[in-house]
Amino acid sequence: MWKLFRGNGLLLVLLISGFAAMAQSGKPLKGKITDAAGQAIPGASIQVKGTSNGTASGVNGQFTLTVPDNAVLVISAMGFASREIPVAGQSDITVALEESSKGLDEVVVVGYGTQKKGDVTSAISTVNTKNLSKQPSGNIGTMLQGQAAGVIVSSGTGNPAANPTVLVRGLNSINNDNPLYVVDGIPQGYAYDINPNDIESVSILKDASAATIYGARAAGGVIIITTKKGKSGEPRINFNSYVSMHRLNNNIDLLDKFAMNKVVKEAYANDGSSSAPPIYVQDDSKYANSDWVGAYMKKGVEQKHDVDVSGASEKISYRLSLGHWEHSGNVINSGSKRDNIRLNTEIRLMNNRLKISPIFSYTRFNNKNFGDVTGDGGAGFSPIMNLYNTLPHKRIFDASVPNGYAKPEAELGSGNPVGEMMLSNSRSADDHLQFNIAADLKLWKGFSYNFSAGRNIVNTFGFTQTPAYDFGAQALVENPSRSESRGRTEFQVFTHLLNYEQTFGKHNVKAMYGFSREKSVSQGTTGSGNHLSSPLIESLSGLIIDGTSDFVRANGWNYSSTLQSYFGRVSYNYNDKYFLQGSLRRDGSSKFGPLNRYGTFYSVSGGWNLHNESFFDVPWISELKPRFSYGSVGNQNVANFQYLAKIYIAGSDGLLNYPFGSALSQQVYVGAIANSLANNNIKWEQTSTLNAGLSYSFLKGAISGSFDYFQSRTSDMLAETPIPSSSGITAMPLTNIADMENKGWELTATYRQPGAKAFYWDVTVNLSHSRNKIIRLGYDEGMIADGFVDFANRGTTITRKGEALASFYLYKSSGIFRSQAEVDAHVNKGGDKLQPNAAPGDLRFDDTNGDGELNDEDKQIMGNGLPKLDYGVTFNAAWKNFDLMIFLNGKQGQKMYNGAKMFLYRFYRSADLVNAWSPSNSGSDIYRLSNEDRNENLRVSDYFLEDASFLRLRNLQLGYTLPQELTKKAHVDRLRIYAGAFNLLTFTKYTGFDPDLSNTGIFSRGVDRGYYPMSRSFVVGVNVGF
Amino acid sequence: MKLKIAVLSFLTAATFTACSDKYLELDDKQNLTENTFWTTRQHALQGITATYGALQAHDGSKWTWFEEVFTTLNYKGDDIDNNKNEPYGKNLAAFVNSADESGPWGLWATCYAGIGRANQVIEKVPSINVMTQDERNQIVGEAKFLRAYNYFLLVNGFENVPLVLKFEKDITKLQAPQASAADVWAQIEKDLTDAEAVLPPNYTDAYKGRATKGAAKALLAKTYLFREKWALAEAKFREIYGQYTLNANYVDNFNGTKENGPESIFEIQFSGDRTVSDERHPFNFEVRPGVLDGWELLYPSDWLVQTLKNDKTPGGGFSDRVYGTIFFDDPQSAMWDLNTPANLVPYADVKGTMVRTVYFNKYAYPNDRGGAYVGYNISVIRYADVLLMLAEAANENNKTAEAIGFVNEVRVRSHAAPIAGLNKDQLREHIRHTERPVELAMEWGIRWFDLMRWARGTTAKLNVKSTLQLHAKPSAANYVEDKHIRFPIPLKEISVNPLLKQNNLY
Repeated sequence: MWKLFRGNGLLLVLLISGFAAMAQSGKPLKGKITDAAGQAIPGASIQVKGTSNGTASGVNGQFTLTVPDNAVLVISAMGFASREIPVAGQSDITVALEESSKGLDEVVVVGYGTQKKGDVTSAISTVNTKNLSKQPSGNIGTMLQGQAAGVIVSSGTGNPAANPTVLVRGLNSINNDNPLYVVDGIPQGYAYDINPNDIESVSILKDASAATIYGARAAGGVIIITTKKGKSGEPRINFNSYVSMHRLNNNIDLLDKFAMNKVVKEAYANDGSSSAPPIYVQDDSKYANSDWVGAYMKKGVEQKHDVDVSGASEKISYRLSLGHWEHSGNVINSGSKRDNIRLNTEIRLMNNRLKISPIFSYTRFNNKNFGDVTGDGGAGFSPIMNLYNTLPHKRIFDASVPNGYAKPEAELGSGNPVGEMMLSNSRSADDHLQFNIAADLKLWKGFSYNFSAGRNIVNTFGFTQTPAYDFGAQALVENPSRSESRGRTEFQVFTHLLNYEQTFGKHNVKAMYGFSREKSVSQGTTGSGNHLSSPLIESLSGLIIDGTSDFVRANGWNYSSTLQSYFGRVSYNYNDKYFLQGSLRRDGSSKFGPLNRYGTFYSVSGGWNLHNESFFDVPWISELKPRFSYGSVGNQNVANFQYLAKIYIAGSDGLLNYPFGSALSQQVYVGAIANSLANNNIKWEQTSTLNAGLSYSFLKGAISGSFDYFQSRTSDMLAETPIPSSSGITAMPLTNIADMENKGWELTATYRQPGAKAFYWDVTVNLSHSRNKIIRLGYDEGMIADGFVDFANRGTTITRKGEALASFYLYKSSGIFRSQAEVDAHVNKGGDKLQPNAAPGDLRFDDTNGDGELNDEDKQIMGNGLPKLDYGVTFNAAWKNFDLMIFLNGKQGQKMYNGAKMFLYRFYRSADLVNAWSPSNSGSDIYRLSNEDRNENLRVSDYFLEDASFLRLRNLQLGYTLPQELTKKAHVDRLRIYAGAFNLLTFTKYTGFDPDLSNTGIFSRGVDRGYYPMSRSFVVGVNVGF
Repeated sequence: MKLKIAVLSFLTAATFTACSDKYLELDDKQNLTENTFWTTRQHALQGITATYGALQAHDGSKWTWFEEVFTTLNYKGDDIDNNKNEPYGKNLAAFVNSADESGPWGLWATCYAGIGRANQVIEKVPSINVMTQDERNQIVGEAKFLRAYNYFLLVNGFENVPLVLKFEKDITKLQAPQASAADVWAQIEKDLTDAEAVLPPNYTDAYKGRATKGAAKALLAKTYLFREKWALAEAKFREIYGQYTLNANYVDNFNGTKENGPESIFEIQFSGDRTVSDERHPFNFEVRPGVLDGWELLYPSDWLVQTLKNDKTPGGGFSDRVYGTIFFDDPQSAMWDLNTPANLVPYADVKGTMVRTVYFNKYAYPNDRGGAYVGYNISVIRYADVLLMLAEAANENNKTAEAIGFVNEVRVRSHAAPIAGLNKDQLREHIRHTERPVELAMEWGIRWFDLMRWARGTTAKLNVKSTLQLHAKPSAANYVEDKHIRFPIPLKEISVNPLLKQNNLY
């Protein structure tokens, strides 16, 4: 029992203070609630501020209520901004509510609650969902790009089935740095299953003051999404639809057969070696001259259709929506489809005191899979680079082969990327279910209690089926094969919240105490085999074993994690002038051992409404509010059971297995042993953030926005820590290895043309900057090398003390040796040649440390893949029935290592090579052709490092709304048609595929290994409301 | 009423709050832990199997084994000319490598993975009471053999390496200092002596491929040879002399048909049997020419080809081992077809369509294929090597005539003309630059270590650079004698272990 009291101490204090509030009395008041056009709003809530006294409006928007003379009414209706109206002795009032009001009374969704925008003391960005709705995309992450200061979105890959990388305030950690998404109160690691058309609001909690309430998982920021609810009034039907045509942004020219033959012959001739060039380059009259990229790519079609029905009466509101999105992709046999259903309801009982909101949503993804190489570590095999490297000499199609694709002539090597892509069928069908029920009960004296329970169930299914084919010995599939994978993740959360809100004269107090428990259980099965008895069977039941080369394998997984949390927040303001807020959260996580299971996170913040001071008298400033916050958040994004000394055993994983026996094809035995080390001391990673900000609004709100400066320090960062492999273990344990700091600023400014005129326009600018630095990484000389561009070779980034995370670490080149004299002159102090293997036309590398040798120590830090400035400019205009949106997005000061170019040079595919240096083309900046590359021109150097700054005209849209007189006849309230272009223009110096295609790995950010390309699209669409 | 509901709700909340931390205690349902493992006979077998597994690279990837481990140890030899357009081992072979090259780390990590696992077996198996003493001793003996084998590679390759003999679990105590090479050599001898005493001479058919008494003796004798303990080496080699026989066909050592057979002493096991897991390797592709579906990662060096072509039968034709080692312009030279494995492709069929004129035929066989890749074993020590090492030791012990006999045993098997009338120095020279490279061309861990030991030793010291230059190794000019004889201590290792000192001149 003592535990109970201790755990709820805060709550008891709140209860007692609640009883002390005064009782009520007063006289009757009647009134009417309407919308801006004067239409009655039924079911609006009318509440006397600071009391539980309230009612709801009737069918005609009318209400009666007994109130004291000095009462302030809080009027809210679903879908409308709430208003506070002083009764001031009136007995009959009419209140008009605005549908989506702007300004200080606007409600901002914060963790476990809402706040008036004017009360906010922390750094929170809200996204204008109207601008989102004009972006032709099915992915909320992609739509956030450039829409909120401090939120940096990179496309990652052009694959429609993939998701972008979203960073809040740059890189805060060397560990998983993804933001936490909270959808209708349910915390989750992603929100890509949501239909953007269902989104009512997006808030991004950036500083500790805002995010502490999500404690353990908030280090990467928190993105809170709420979904649309039914709005008061008659049932409405909305229909939105667009179709867009995608075309590849192909900016990389390849050599055709003839040019390639010439280049390769020259490369071999330049070496003067005993190797003859490959036979296939020696006779131009032989072989095909295929356009592999052309055959691999296609025009893509994207379409999205949404319909929703919504409405609300006094007791119930509802919104049912259906959505379908599909994108055929720009690569053959790729693409993605998504279907959404969502039903949001709200039931009001007990005279509006009890509100029950059940939410149900279902999402189905149908993807055709594509294996991009993203992430950290070895570069692996990039299908796109493989395609670009394919010899033009190979034929693509062959009508005489039953499957229609050509087997290359033996001397051309194996493989037919088009045939392999088309024949191998790899698909997934994933179901995402979300059930969420919240009950909100108004108690007395300003107290209310909220209980919510949520459950997310994700069922995944994927299969790959490949028929037998023969594209040469290395691309030989002897028998049809099939693998399947099924997984199930069930996540549940219970949250109890006790809220308190009271006004004592000029003192306004708001408090919240909460308790929550979360559990996630993930289980799955995989099965595979390499011999289906017939290609017509599409089931694992068709697998057979016919000889030792065949296998049927099963595997699976089963793990869970739990989180138990206590949290609270108290906000206080005096007379709407001085604001103070404090938050506290204590999280216990199963991911940590018993010693370090709990972590405590806190924050304090304050704000001052300077404009409300009597001495402040500047008529053109309507808001000026300095803010300050300091606090901590945590990160627990780590794998389970790191604190246990595990014995690894996995039957079908060859890692520990070994064959014995006397037969030719020996029996393989399963091995087991410790293959990783336990870390008993693993504990929370903590980020402390200081934020100083200013919210402002000038010229009666025509100009508004905010500026924030932040400085954060992440301590005891959890990361896979390289350990001496002499320990016998190469799997890196997670340890609290490092500290880093991150500084930056964000600016948002919006100009809205005041007043209602025929021509209306507004413009919003977002700017943000962040810079990080490693303060500690293991011991002083410790470092993490990554960003490999050639399997496990050619690492391009380094992470070490004093530098930014994943800084490029490369040789410095200084042009091309134009002559032998220049080669001979490139010597150290002793007169020895620094590059004895170089010839004219090779790259000159600098002995930067002057030790007389060209070696590793000459590599230098050369920037990183994070932009110095990320910006977005959104311009909206309306004239009569026309509307226009222009959205520009850019990144300045980010570097990209063009690994793709390195590959295309190495394999003689880049069209640049026809212009390579030669004695007769001695002005060229492209180093000479050489097969043996004795000078190692391909070494990691700034030659392949490029400025990937860009400015992109991301969205351009022109709409026309048909006059209502016209549409009314067809019972249509609103009909808007539009056309536009997405990714229409990009200004960049980057010569690779796209400056915004970025590696998803933290240590490989900015390393281009050749990704699914980006496309440009033209869109037409329609919005209809009934 | 409302009050009651409210209080009830509140108490519900409070009850949840009062729930204990048991909610946070979960079990790992996927893994055994150290507390539950090492209790049965099967656990001991699984442990030693995993220790053998490290022979195929630290991450169990057969790609790593070839592209990192094999290339690192073999590309520096004068018998191999690597494809310069491939990054694997390129800088090592050109003697321009720096410490951040991934290959040496791959070799280092592979050896230490084997050592770490062996240490676990050596520590844990003796307390598994359900096994007999003999069973436990044998498994510990196998672990010691494997530990010695890995240290043999390390001390020869890197020279200055940490001597880790205990599996350290505390992640704060993993930084081990380098030991003196002498201490490492002493430990190798000790482990092999221990292993020799307890290992069985043979295994049942189901378990062939595990370390035998003969394997321990051969590796111990090889250790003595590397230490120039000529008398001990000769004596130990003689303990297995006649215990093995040469395969009648030279090529059967490389095509899988005589795996763990009469000539085999110790092999790295691979298998085309994929029913459990994938234990295949890509060696067949690595050496074959493009027109025969290969990737052409390495070629025989011009010097090797010349040396091989001098290996004649008494009738003046090429010996079996010439045909078994290279694919070259000769009416009898042929390579197995990958597409139709029973098919031999004569050189004439593909002549003029290849980048080079000569390719390795050794390990180019499509036998024991599972899908595209192959499962034949890679030899570590075979009897022909033992005979040549015995000959070398005997010759140094002034038994030149007898030594010539051992050499001729090897030659005759391939129908090469016997040698005769060589004096001690001539025989030494013959073994070093003719017999060993011809018989053992390109085989795992042979040539580079030979060049290295002749340079490090005191008997007829032979500087590596001059040999490389004499044998026209490309980039031999870049070779720096006291630098490239060792691999650099991998930068990746030094950056997490400040106790390590970088090798000279890196």
